[in-house]
Amino acid sequence: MRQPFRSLLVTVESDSHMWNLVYLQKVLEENGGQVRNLGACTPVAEVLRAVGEEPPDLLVVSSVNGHGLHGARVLLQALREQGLEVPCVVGGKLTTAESNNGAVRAELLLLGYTEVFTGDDAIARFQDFLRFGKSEGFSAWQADAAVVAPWDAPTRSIVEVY
Amino acid sequence: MGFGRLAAMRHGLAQVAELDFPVVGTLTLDSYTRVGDHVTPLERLAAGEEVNGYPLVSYTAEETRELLRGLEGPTFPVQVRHGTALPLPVFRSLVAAGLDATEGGPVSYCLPYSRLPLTEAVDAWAESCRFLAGETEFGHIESFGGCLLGQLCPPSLLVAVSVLEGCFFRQHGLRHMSLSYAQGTLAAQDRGAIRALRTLAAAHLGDVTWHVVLYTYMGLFPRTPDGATGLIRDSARLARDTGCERIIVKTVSEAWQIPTVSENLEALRLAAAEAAVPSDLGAEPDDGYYAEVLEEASLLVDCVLDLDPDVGTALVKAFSRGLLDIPFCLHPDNRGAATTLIDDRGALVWGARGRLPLPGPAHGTEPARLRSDQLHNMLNHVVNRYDKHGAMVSG
Repeated sequence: MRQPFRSLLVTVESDSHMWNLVYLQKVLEENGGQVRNLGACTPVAEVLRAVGEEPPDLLVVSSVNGHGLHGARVLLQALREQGLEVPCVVGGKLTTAESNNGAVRAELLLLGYTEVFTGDDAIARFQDFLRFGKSEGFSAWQADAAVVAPWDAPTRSIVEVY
Repeated sequence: MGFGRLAAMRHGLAQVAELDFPVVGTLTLDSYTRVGDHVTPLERLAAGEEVNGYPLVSYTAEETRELLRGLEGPTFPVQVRHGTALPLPVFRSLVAAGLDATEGGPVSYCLPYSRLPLTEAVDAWAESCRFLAGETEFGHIESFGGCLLGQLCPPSLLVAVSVLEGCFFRQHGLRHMSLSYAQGTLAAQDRGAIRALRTLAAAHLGDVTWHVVLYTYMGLFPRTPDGATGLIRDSARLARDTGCERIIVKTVSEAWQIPTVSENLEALRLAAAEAAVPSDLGAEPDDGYYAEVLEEASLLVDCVLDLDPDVGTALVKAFSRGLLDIPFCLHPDNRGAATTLIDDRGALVWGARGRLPLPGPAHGTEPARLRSDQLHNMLNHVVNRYDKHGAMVSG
């Protein structure tokens, strides 16, 4: 992958929160990313324009107002309709209750997001994802598959059952 | 407090109205309404999903009047909280529903919450203020200038923006207003800042009625019940010690989700009980903070008001020149050269001052030089302190 990678940092149109975007810009930069930060309440049209102008290596959608699930669906659908294919990840607080995280993750992965980051370890997992993406390319990420490479995995006996 | 469905909203307000101490009901609008989307809220509700507030503009005035019937009145005022940079549709809806109190401001609801140009927000707020002043006898707006990005803003800027928005409301015909201040990281600094806010408001808003409203900490909230309770309790003590006429509380579930009605009631009871406890006289003196905040906030307010006789024009000029600059705010009309640090005392201070007309070096910690872990620590300063020490933290 080209160094530094280019990232586009956005939120959903209804979300006016800013600290998540300020913080993630720094995280991306410290991981070698160039960041175009589109700021709070990012209109879908503005994301489409930015992706069309200069396709990023990674589109990061961060939302914490509880409406991220809906906004993330709308955004990905709009990208598809424009024929724009780009690795995109989404994270934050995506619904109004934390208990929905599992179902939300499943839905957004199925929809086509490369990875979904919610819950307590979201930032640590995002950092792992960035490290992987920098060496292997973000589109090579397999969500739910083992993050650990086979040669790094702990040795264990294989038990077969007839 | 805001719920998407009429029955849930009425139920919530009815529960609050029954409390046996003075309380203001709130209709907090959802974030689709905030950005002017009045179609999606009802669609999402029809689809069986929840929205994060009450879509006042989507419902008819009659539906909202019905919702408020028998609840809202002189002993139970209801304030509309909305977060809208272009508020005229919200103002029209609230007036049509028989209400007259709301909050926000041309700066405080634009730069932190919207991507609209500040000039557009200033024009829209000017028109909306005149509308409210013309249509209601006691129209009231609370400036949200004391919150800005909710955390990590030096108090002098919060005080200055609250007072400047008060001047703006006054210029556009309002005679009843309140000025906000959000609890920061250190009680003594907050007490000094609230005293400074009163001094400055008395000097600039002598011919209108105003009061001070304190917000329980608006940044990242403690995650443990003890930590969250301790922070809410300390905010109530702060309100009591500084004579704040009103306090807006958070709930113990703030870090997790939109609170339930019973969590809201619990938080209101907690704050009311704490505020009723007599003040302890052993608090750390705040005279030094008072003098510091008053000096800085006065410099900011005077500098801005000198830019133009029209307050809105002065605000636009001030931001374009960096004479007002909200630390870390990403809005295109904010210069973004100022930063905040938390010092050894635990007080919020300027890192870099950028072009702010304040004494001290312009260059401290440049925005780009602050690392993510430093920012993370500062954002979590209050969380960590209260989650470690729980309810024993004070003063």
